[in-house]
Amino acid sequence: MEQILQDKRFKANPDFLLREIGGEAVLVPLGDVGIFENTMLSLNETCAFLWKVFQSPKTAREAINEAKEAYEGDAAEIEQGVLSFIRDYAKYKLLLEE
Amino acid sequence: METYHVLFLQALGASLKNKKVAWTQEIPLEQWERLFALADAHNVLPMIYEAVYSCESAKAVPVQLMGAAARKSMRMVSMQAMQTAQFKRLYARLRESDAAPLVVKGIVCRSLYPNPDYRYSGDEDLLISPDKFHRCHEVMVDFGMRLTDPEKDIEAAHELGYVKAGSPIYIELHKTLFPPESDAYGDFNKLFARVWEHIVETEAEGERFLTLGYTDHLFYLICHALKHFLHSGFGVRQVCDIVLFAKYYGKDIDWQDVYNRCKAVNGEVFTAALFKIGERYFGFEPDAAYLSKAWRSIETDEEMLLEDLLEAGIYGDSDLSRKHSSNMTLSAVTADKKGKKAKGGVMKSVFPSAKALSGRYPYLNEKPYLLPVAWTDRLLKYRKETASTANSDISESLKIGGRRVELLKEYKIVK
Repeated sequence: MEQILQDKRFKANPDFLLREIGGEAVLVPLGDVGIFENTMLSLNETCAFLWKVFQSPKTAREAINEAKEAYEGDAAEIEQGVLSFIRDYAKYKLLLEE
Repeated sequence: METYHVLFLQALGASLKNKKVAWTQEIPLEQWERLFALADAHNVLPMIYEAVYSCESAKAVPVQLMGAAARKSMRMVSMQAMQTAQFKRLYARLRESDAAPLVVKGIVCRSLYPNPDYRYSGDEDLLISPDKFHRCHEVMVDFGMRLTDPEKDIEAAHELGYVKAGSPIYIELHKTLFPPESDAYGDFNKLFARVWEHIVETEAEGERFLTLGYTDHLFYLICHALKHFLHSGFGVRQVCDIVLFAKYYGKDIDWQDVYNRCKAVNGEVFTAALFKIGERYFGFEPDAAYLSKAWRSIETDEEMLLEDLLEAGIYGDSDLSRKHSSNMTLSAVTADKKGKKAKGGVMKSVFPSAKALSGRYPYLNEKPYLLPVAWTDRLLKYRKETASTANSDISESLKIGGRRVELLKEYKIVK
């Protein structure tokens, strides 16, 4: 794992709320959220799960461990999926570094 | 009752228990369309959709219909989430300022639902004591709230609406719980004279709010539903609010006090019918709510009220004919209070008094001799409104009004 991810703790940006209905999940932006104003971000099941994981501050390793407990599948794929989520979401400040 | 009414009540009952329906029967497309339309009219589409979308019967529903219901439900839930978040921020500022008003209904009721954001509220209602009004208004303006009617005299008005640019939040700030000038229910305020002595702090959606005492709050919810019933009807959300509030706070409620105050407004039979609807369809348990003997001994047929409620939409606005029938029902209540026969006649409906019209035509306060001018303007506006709108017909309004006056008699609100 990238060193940069190993040491950091990430937390879901509190300016976005997860809402689920009819089996679908979206992130609802609140307040001043830049490019995400007046949008709703649709999440697939895995992203919705990870969003909930990051409701409390977690390192990448902690999140990966939780994902491995929740999902069956190739361990390496799960790890890459979580890291990809963290990179993408952190890039757009949907995940914030603690 | 129609099939879609039954489906609606089943789905709503399931939703209130955070469950889903287990329908397996074939349900005609038309009934699905009516079900979603009814849910939309009552602003409970997210609750209904969540309860029904995954059942066996729903698999046969065309994807366009389900998709439309899903999208609208998601929009409503998202909008409510945004409104709630903004409201929490505003209220935190009000509490810091020591001019915090009481939260009435709104988030206090929503927090009782399994999924609070599924229970859509158009606004948040706040009650402010007169001595704190100016400070409260200042804090609201400082937060970015603006009066919906900047011309309104904020000293004289008993309620003020506030919005904020770029936000869906809408606040109604009340100085009294009911419009004092209303002949039909202005006197309800007397029964809340001591609310400031009984306020409580309650937790709702992770934050703490000052609100009415439990007995006052339940009685207020009942009076609020009654007020809308006197107009042209109320929505099913209000029944759910009352039932859930009684369920969660029942042991803290002085049921005898509620009974006495309901009797004072001729609302005890109406209220008993609401509890019966709650018990039959929404999982209300009188024992668990500590409902007193006085309430259980009231005999009433709740089905007529239920039918009226389902037809009414949210606030009795299901169509203009129904909305315009409110003059007759309000006149009937006012006449009854004056000891006159509650006829609900046509003349009072078409030619109301200066006092009845003074809200919409403030010049009548100073110049009551201009009443014929107000009548003419009102009739012209009604003609314009109904000319271009379906479901509005004066004879239909009169028929509905007559029928609803009989309903008021059935529930002993008028003699």
